[in-house]
Amino acid sequence: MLRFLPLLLITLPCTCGRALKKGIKGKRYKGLVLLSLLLLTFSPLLLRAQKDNNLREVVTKTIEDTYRYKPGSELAVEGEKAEIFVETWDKQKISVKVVMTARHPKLEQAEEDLKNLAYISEVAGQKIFLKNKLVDQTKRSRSELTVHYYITLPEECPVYLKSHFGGATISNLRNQLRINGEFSAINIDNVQGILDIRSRFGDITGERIDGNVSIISRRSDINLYDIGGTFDITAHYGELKISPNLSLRELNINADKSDVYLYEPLNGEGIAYNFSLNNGEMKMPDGRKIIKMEQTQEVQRFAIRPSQERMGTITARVSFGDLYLQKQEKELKARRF
Amino acid sequence: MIIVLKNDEMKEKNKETLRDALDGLREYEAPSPAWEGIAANLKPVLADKLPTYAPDAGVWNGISRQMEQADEAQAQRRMAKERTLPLRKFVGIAAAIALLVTAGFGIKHELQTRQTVNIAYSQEVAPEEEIPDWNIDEASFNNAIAEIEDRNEPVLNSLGLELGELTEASNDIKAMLVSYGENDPGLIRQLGEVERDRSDVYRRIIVEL
Repeated sequence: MLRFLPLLLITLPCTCGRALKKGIKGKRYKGLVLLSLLLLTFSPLLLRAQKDNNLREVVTKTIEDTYRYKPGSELAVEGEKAEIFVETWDKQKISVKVVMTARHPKLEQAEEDLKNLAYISEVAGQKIFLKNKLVDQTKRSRSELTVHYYITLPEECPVYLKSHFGGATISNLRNQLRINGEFSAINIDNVQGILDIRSRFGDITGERIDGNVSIISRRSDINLYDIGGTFDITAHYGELKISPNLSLRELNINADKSDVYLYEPLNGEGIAYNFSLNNGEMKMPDGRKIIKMEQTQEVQRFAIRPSQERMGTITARVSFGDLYLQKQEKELKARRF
Repeated sequence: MIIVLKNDEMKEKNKETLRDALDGLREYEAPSPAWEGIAANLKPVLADKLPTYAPDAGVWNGISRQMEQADEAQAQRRMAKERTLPLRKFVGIAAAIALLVTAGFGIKHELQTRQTVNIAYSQEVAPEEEIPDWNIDEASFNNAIAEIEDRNEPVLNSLGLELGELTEASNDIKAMLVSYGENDPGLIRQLGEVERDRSDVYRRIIVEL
């Protein structure tokens, strides 16, 4: 009935108009006018009732912890169906805020399902372990359960994240970062140092990354923008879009059943390229001199020599995928740490 | 004549003779009335003049009871003393353990300072529930896999592995929907992507078949 309310409200002016034209004496029009006026009068209440019926209860459990940071301390987080946010500050402390939420139309059900979510924190020597899990793995949750970690720590603190469903967002770290994700989107911004990232069924997005970086991915798209240093990327079944800056020293890509898009930085003609394609096509920018090394029906190997002093080397081996090299449209500044 | 004799200083010249003579004298016993007469003539002592009274039996019983109570109290004190000593030892051990535990916690909590837990309640507008049937194409996928196994060709096998990997991922996501709520928008989106990939692979398999 309520879903027809807007229609009835629209018909009201028409009905009234026709009633006025025909004269209010007609019985049929009288009834319609009366019904329309009643609906108009009570429509706010009806809408309010409908809205109330669509409300659901939200029970939120928030746990806050603070740890002292000492040189040598490490943080390891194992999240399940959890969104993990890691930020930095200049205090010698590690602040952890874990928010676990259950949503269901019935409060009792939400409370009961929330009890099945457990958060565990342990300190072993210099290592801090944080973890969430289901108390009863076999229990069917009637509520929608979510977990969020908000972690703030010194930029030099090494971080290890393991994420099974959910996601990880990390920014401003300066030392060591390891991520092992499954079905988890990974976002990295302004991170330097040693990075080791493994991802399966989780896209990787990174911006302003510099250091020694290793990425192994499967069924994941990779988007890296403004990156420098040394990168090793092995990807299966994904789309890679990579925009290095002028401080890139080495980029090695092994892509299988993946398309690779490389965006050369402006003034980056000092970069040397070595490409190898197996069962794939390539598209190079116009006017670049390409040295063909091998060309068969299935395999193509070619190189592009730097036209100025060598800045870095990009090597890409692509199987069952296409390779594109294009110029960046915006200048990226070289940055080293 | 009175002779004073000292054993070694006797100066009598005939001391041996004199001793023998003395030893040879007769002895006389005093008659018994003599002693009684003497006793009768002696003045009575003060204690003998005091009257004597026999106490009630209850007095002795009372004294006996008091003595027993005193003994019992002494025994209890002794036992209490015996008990007190291990208790003190126990308290000492407990204090030592408490100290160690505190020190342990101190070491453990050297890094961790404090934890707070809060629970909050609120309401929000529920999104539209629309639970699709994700298993609608399972029979087709299973038929395709069976056909691939029968034909055992390299290209088809490769596609079959791809389909198997995606099917496994699909099952993982479905399991998460059971554990974390079947209306989770993030999981539903992920499942949709995997199912689309599965459909693509399935179409490629059909073309090859």
